[in-house]
This record gives sequence, C-alpha cells and structure tokens, in this order.
Amino acid sequence: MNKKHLLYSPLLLIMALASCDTVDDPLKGDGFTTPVDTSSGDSAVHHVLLEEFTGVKCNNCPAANKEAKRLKDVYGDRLILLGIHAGSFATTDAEHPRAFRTTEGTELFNDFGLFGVPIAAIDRRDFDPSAGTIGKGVGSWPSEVQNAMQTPALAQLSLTEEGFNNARKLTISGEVQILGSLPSNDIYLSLYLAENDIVSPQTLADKSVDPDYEHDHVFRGAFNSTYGSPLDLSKDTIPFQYSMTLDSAIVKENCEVIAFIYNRDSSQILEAFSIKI
Amino acid sequence: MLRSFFLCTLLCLPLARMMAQSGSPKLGQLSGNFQLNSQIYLRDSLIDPLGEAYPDERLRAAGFLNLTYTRGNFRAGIRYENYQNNIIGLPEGFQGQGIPYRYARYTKDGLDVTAGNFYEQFGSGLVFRAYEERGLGLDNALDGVRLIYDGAPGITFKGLIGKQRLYFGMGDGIVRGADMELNLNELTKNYGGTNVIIGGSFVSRFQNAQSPIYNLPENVANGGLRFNLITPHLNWFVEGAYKSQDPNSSNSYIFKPGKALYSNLSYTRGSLGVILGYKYYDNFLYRSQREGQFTELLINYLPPLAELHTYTLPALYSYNVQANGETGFQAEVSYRFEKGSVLGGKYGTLVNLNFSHSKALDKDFTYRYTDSLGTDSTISGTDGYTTGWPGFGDITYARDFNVEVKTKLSAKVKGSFSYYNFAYNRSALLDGVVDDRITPSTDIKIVHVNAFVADVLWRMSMQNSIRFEGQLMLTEQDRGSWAMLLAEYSMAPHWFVALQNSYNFGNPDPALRVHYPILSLGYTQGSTKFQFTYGRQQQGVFCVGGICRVVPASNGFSLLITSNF
Repeated sequence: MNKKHLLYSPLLLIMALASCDTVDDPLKGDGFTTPVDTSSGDSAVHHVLLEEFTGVKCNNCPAANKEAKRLKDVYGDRLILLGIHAGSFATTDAEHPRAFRTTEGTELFNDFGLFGVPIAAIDRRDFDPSAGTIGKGVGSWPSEVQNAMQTPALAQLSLTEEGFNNARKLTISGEVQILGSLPSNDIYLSLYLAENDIVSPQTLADKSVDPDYEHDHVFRGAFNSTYGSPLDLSKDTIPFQYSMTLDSAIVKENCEVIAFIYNRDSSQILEAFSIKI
Repeated sequence: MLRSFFLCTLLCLPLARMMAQSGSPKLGQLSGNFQLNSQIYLRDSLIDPLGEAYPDERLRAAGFLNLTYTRGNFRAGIRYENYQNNIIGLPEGFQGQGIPYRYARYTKDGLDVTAGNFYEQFGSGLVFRAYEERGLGLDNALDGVRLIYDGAPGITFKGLIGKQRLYFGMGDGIVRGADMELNLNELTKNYGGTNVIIGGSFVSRFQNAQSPIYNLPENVANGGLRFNLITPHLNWFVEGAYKSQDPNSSNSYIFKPGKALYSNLSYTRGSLGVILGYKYYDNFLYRSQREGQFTELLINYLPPLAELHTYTLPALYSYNVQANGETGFQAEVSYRFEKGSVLGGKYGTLVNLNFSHSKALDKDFTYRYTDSLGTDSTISGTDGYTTGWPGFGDITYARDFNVEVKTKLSAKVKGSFSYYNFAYNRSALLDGVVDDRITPSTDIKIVHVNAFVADVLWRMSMQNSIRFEGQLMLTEQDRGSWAMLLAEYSMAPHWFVALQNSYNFGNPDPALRVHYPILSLGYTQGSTKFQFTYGRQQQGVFCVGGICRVVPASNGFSLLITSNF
C-alpha cells in the first residue's frame, strides 16, 4: 500500500476531534422560568408578536402552548401571544365540538406556506411562502423571540376601547407614533381580536382528549381584514379607529385586542401592542 | 427562470435526440426522465367526513423532469420539479416550481468531484444517508461539494460538505462528513473466496445556537465503524455508531449522546437461506437542524429490521422506525424444496419463515423542575433517561410472524400464499405517541392481526396474463377486519387493466363498513407509460424502508405519466 494513503486515517481523526461540542452544563442559569427585566426607562421598547398556529386535535400543541406561555412569563408584556387555529388539526368532530377556525387564520396559514402544527411566526420574520421559513418550530422559539427582542422600536402603538354596544359592536381607537426611520413607505396596520379562558376539548400528548382544556389567546378575527390597512405616513402620529361585531360565542370580557404594524414588502412586523378589554 | 428553463428544454430535447441517435462522443449524450402525477378529487363525505382529502383546488398535479448530460468523464444534470400543489398525503411543503437539483461531476486521476446537489450513503446509513424517496416526499439531497478518491485499489475515501434540501429551500445546518473503506482482498490483491471490508465514517453538523435556556452544542458529530465478512456461504455486516449530544425538537431537547448498533448475518447453502438481524437504536435521530418534523433534513437512516408488508391489507400496518429508541431482532429462514420431492411437488416450492420483534428501550427517565416551586417538570435540559444494554423495555412496537409459500401450480400458473400474525403498536407507530408519554403502558393501542394472502399469476400466452390477489385481514381492534380481491389482466407489451375492491366488513362503526373499489388502466408505448385510475382509496400508511407517511382516505381520478429517453 502506498504510504500516502495512510494520510486518510488522520483526516478522519482530525474531523472527529474538531467537530463536536461537549456540553457539561445544559442549562443557562437554574433553568427556571425567571422573568427578565423588560424595563428600559423612558425609552420605547419593541414588542414581539408570536403567532402560534395550533389545532384542537394536535397532540403536540399543548406542550408548545405551554412553551409560549413560559416565554410570556419571561418577557411579560413585551411578548404578545396569538393562537391561530388552522390546518387539518383544527377541525371538529364528536370529541372536539369547537375548532376555532377563522377565515383570516386559514388565509395566513396558507399564505405563509405552512402545513404542520405546532409552528409559530415570530414577528413574521423570514417570510418566504415557497420555503415556509416563516414558521419556527417550538424548540427555536426561545432564541427566535430573544433575537426579535433586540429589534429597536421604530414606532409606539396605543389602544383604547371606545365602546361596545348592544349589537355587540366593539370599537377600538388608537395611535401609531413613528419614532425612527421606517424600512419602507408601504406600512400596514392590523387589528386582531383574541379571546382567553375558553374551556373546550383538546387532544393531549398521549392522544387522550381533555374536555376541560383552557384555550388562551385564541384568534377570533380581524377588525380590518387579514392584512390590515395602509398607514398614511405623512404625519409622525397617525390616529385610527376600527370596529368589529363580536360573534355571540365570544365572551367580550375575556378578550384582548392586538394591534401591529408591518412592512408590506417583507411582511415583517415592526411593532405590536395589545390591551385587555 | 421558468421561461429560460423551458426554452432550454425545447432546444435541448431535439439536440438530445440527435445526440442519442448519433451517439457521437464529441457531442456527448443527453438522457432524462419525466413523471407527472395528476389527481382530480371528489368529495366523499362517508370516508372523509372532514374533507381532508378534498382540497380547494379539486385538481392537483406534481411532476418532474430530469436531464442528464454525459460526455466522457464529465456529467451534469438538473431536475425541474413542479407541485401545483402537491398530491394529498405528500408533504405540503412542496409547493410551486423550480430547479432544486443541479450538479456537475467529473472523474480524473482517481478523483471523482461533484459540485452542486448529490446523494450519498456511508455504510448502512447509520451515520449518513442522503437520498430521495419520491413516494414519501423525502429528499434530503446535499447541496455542496463531494470528493471520492479511489487512488489505490481497495481504498475508497469520500469527503463532503454542504447543506441539505428542505423543500425549495435549505436547512440551517452545515453538514461535513468523511468516509473511508478498505477492501482487504483488493488491497492485498488476494482474490480468494473470503473477503473483509472495513470502514469508518464521520459526520458533523454545525448550526448556530442562541437559546436563552440551553447551552446547546453547535457542532454535533456522529461517527461509526463497520465490518463486513464475506465468504462463499456467509455474509456478516455489523456497524456501530456513536452520536454526540444532540438536543433537538424530536428528542425533547435531551443531552444524552446517542448509540446505535446494527448487525445482519446471512447464510446460504444449497436450498437453505438464513438471515439473522439485530438492531439497537438509542436516541439516534440525526437531522441537520435541531428543528424538523417527519422526514425533513434527516442526515442518517436507521434500517428497520422488521418485516416490510407489501400487500395492500397487511401494509395498512407497516413498521415505522422509532429513532428515539428501540431495539429488536429479525430471523428469516427460507428453504427451497426441490421439484419431485414430497413438498416440492412437480415444480419445486420455496418456503419463507420470518419473525421479528421490535421493542422500546427500557428507559428510566430523568426529570428536572421548571420552576422553583417544583410544580412542573420536564426531561428537557437533562440527559433524558438512562438505559442499558440490551435494554429491552416493556413496550412492544411490533411483533411479526409470517410464512410465505411460493410454488408453481402448473406450467402456466404460479402462486404465492402468505400468512401473517402480528401485533402492531398503533399508538407509537401511527399516532406518533412517544414512549415517554405513554403512562400507563396499558393505554397503548395494540392491533392484533391474522392475515392471509393468495397471489396467483396465470400466464395464458406470451402476451396475455392474468393475476388474482385475494387478501383477508382479521382483527378486532382499530378499524376491524378487511377483505380484498384484485384481478389484473395484462396484454404485453402495451395494455393492462386491473380492478380491485377492499371491503372493511369488520369496522366497529357499521356506517364505515364500506367498499373501496379501484379501477386502473395502463398503456405502455416504448419507454412511456400512461396509467389512469379511478376509485376510492382507504386511509392508510405508506412506508419505504421503515419510514412512513399517513395517507388520508380519498376518492377521485388520477393520471400518471412516466417517460424516459
């Protein structure tokens, strides 16, 4: 055998030595859910929207939802959760009488190029419907949310409940205050409604069905269509007002309104805000 | 890009024909193949009450065109793929169109260089296997560079680096790998009856880690050694592999290293054939990024070592490898009774006996609290569990015994008759309930099956043949018992027509005791084949090599065209 061929063996050995990391301490800190200090004095901070696509028949979704809530415990008001029920796991049957599907949610699920749940869009980053890259698996949510938190606040949003009449018409007003240089002139504003504390059956990890599962942050519809309305950027402060008629199944007292502005060119959310009503 | 692709295709095809006809080495050769699968879906609220197999589009089509140009030691190719949208039951991530596969390759002085996309396998695949299985919607081709060096007889060295395909994009991780194989007979130029092949392979994945909770390893390695003894009657292959810490979404982010051992021993002498296999897979799923589902971005392949059911009814319960942990064995004995003997009859008889058993590993789980109050716990962020060897746990994934008898009934009629007896863990293998979530184990849904298959081919003449298939599958669990009949008439070399009907007569729900008839008509002209199918397809599972996807029940027409030149 030609001696030069013996060189191959050390090549494998070098690769072996160079190509794996050993972690002695898997956890950063104590691994507990510890809230981070989200205050930043008087300056505005960026709020992150985590749109969690889920379904009542998805047995892996309760664990994902738990992870989303854990992150909410970490980041507080700076993280806004929205549970969008869509896809083939969000359907009704005898065991699951309610599926919480919405026209807007299904449109987002399809337009984002998603096909499985649980999965989440975080500030709608990495939008590419052909590759489905906007969807982030649950294991990457902590790092994706942490990255999104580093984004500077380019705007500040405020929301006010104007009224809720006998016809169940809910009116919300607010302002968008532009703080920095926006990446595009094509900025849209969306207002969504989410409902908490809905008790309805959900399939669990072991495929059993919990009839008393509590669903939170459930997307119930949009005030101004799936993709919102264009913002008039001729002023630094832009007022708005939208109304929505609530379905009789929606408990208004358990609802929250989520507003966000996004770059129509990239789909990325620039700022978000929510209030309980 | 699309327009230029079609322009190129229009220009290339006549050129290809010219080159193929002339066979001129100066021009090189262009070859290719094409496939189109189109389906029109009909609403069938009986078998598909939720409309899962009734898409908004009503008609979907998926297809591809491969073009390969070869000239001397040079080869280049592209594959155009089109999913408008993908066929129901296949991954919906394949949407749209593009050229996700293109490569150039040449060989010079023992060095084989590929730039672009390629498929590759090291050993049995425990460490690395990039391959395509279109029926599963699996394509984990690498996009990068591969070198194969055959500089000396008996030594083959492979090295590669790249990223893996994820639908029309790429996974996040970078895959690096190397493999060396020594063929001792060739190395020593001693071409006797016994040969030994030994090999070693190593693959590493790099992916950025920014988790605020875990100290995730960015480089995850997988290395293996293999040994193959080949004698005139015996062939023994064994491969062991070790994977460094690889917390990922499929193993619940545990930090336990993975181990795998796969062995296959076959012995043949005269009419007797014996195969013995053993597997031990402990936390051995390996993807090129931490997040992935189903068949996405798999770097390695775990041989299933279980009976892979091919007939329609037993195939409703096909084995799906449990990469997070399983162990088991398989034994197969085949014997050919010579013609003229009592059991061999006039034409001889082949008998195959097969037994396999796959079990979960015996895991002792490790938990940690996720809050200071100790109210919630998880295995994530720990070593996950401890287990030993041989590690047979209490949970059976599948236990399968089957016997097959193949014989000729007359000069023109031959038949294959099979009996199956198996237990199938539906909770784990189809519903995806992982073993650490099965508490207590009595909640597992085990399907006990007895099945019989008769497959008879009557060759009436050189051109005409007819094949009958009768299947009966008896079970009291899941969807209950089934029966199926099939008749297929072939008029070589152009036509075939087949009619089959499956009847779920034992379904616990009387409303679902329905028939699933399917009519198929095929026409072959040279290397082009058209197949038209109409019928009702039962919900099932489609598996290749121990990797499965669930196919929903559907109703409709389909047209399949395949062609090559």
